[in-house]
Amino acid sequence: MSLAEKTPAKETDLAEVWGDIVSRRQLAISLIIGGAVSIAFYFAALRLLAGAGATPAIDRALAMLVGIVGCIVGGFICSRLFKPKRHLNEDAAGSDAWRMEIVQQIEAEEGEIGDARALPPVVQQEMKEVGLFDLFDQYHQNQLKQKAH
Amino acid sequence: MDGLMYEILIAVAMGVLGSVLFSLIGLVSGTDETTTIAPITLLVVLLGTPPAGVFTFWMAAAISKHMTHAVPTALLGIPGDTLATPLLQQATALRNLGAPHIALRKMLAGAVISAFIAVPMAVLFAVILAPFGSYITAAAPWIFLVAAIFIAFSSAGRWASVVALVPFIFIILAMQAYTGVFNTKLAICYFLGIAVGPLVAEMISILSPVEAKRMDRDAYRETTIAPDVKSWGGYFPNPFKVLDRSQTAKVAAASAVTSATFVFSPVAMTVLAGEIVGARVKHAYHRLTSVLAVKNGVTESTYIAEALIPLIAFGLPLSPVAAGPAAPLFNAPPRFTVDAASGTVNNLHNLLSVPEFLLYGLLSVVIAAAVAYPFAMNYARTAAAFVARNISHEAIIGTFFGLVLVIGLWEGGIMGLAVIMTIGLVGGLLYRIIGFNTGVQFMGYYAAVLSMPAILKLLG
Repeated sequence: MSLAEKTPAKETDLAEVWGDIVSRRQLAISLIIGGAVSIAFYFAALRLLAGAGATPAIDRALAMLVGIVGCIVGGFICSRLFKPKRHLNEDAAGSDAWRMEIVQQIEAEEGEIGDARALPPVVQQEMKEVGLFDLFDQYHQNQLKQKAH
Repeated sequence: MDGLMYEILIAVAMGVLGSVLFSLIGLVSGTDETTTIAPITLLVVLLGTPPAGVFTFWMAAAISKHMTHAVPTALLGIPGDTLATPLLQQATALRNLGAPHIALRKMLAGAVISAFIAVPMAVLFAVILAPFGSYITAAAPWIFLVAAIFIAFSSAGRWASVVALVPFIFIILAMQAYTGVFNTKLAICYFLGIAVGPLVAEMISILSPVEAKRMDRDAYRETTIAPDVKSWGGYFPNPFKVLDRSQTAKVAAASAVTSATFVFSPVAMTVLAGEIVGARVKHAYHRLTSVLAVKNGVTESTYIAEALIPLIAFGLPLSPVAAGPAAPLFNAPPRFTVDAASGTVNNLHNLLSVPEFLLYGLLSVVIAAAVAYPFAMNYARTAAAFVARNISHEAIIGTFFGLVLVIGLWEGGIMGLAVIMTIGLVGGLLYRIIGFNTGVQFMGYYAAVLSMPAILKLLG
């Protein structure tokens, strides 16, 4: 990923809410739209559908359903108005040195790397298809050499 | 016979609806299971869907969500939901090695195999426990109290959660007494308030300058998406070929065992199963892939068993999943009720038989395997990129805000909204600060409604 792609965010009011990044102003507008549209749908349906069902309880349940349609409409409007606050980079495979570092990190987090050649043939085959056999094997062989010295 | 055919048709239709809907919701990172599955299932119950349809909807929804939650977790490095969090470390390691598609496939294959095993296992365990059901129902007020304390202690908050139960129960009792003054008796609003608590707390925290430091960000989220590699012909990759034989065996064993441990937290079981399996695999690559398959399998088996066993054996929501995301299957007044005073329950427990639970349970797995599994296998990259590029988080929050307003107004008008806001803020903050999670809060609600009358009676 190149630095040039990292265009600075225009919004200066970014915050992390409920697991992702939002603009405070756009969030406030989204809440108003989401709330207003759903409530409008609900109360309109409550009026229009009065007497449509067999009992008042069914009328109200139908109105609620229309209200739910309203919140999806509200969400759709917001998704057209506001773009996600995410930069999506296309991943290019890293260099060998970088991948060696990753293996080192995996060793720190997950424990011993182990000998790939001792794995069942199916697993070795899978690792070769993914292109990771040589990387893990190399790392392990390097470790053995270091220990020998 | 016509009646049965009709039931099955409704169940298939509701299962497909649940599966499609939650396959899509699963793609959106950070959509907590309880917050999304509970309110929508509640809606399905209250609209009068036949019992088989309600059950199949919930099962297909939960199973599908725990398949597609692997997509953002593996491809974007952002956990899809709460149960995806324990998978993030291994998924990120494979993603950094340039093999996120392998992480994704192992997770999906583990999920589908585990789900098929968990349904019959859970039914079996439920049948073994069922003879004790009547004793448990009779002692329900006390069992809920013990369960509330146990689930509180096994939450992240430990003793803090146990202590926090006391004021939390009194807040619920106080609000019930207050809304009672206006002849308003609410139940759904409490569930909804607890379910969306984390979101309510965040919405209010963002207004506070004190919280600005924690929440402020100065840049967009950076995510990289890996290139697609498709290594199978056709539409439906065979899960037994995606996993090697030792991985299949490990997934099956973990699934069977975690189908029995239904009183424990699904997150804890997922972490534990991963550690036990990880310790037995000698090579790091094989360990990463095996642990991912097993862990995601356990996210399925715990959800399935924790809903099925209490439903079949007791009719009482006596597990973290039953008290949380599956709560509307047990208690959705006026349609489904749990009445401790008379020791009676009226919910799916009474409305479906054991063979029906097994049949519709397996039907849900088949539907999820036919909808979510191939969808996530074939279109993971396209779907993840579409969500990341087009669906803003603001729009998702706006949608949920509307949903909460409509359901709150529908049940209790302004009083309903007041209850959701109060419970949501208190519960959400307690969750974030001391680890008093939503499962404990649901148990707190049951303790307030079911155990307190019995305690007061005992005290005279």
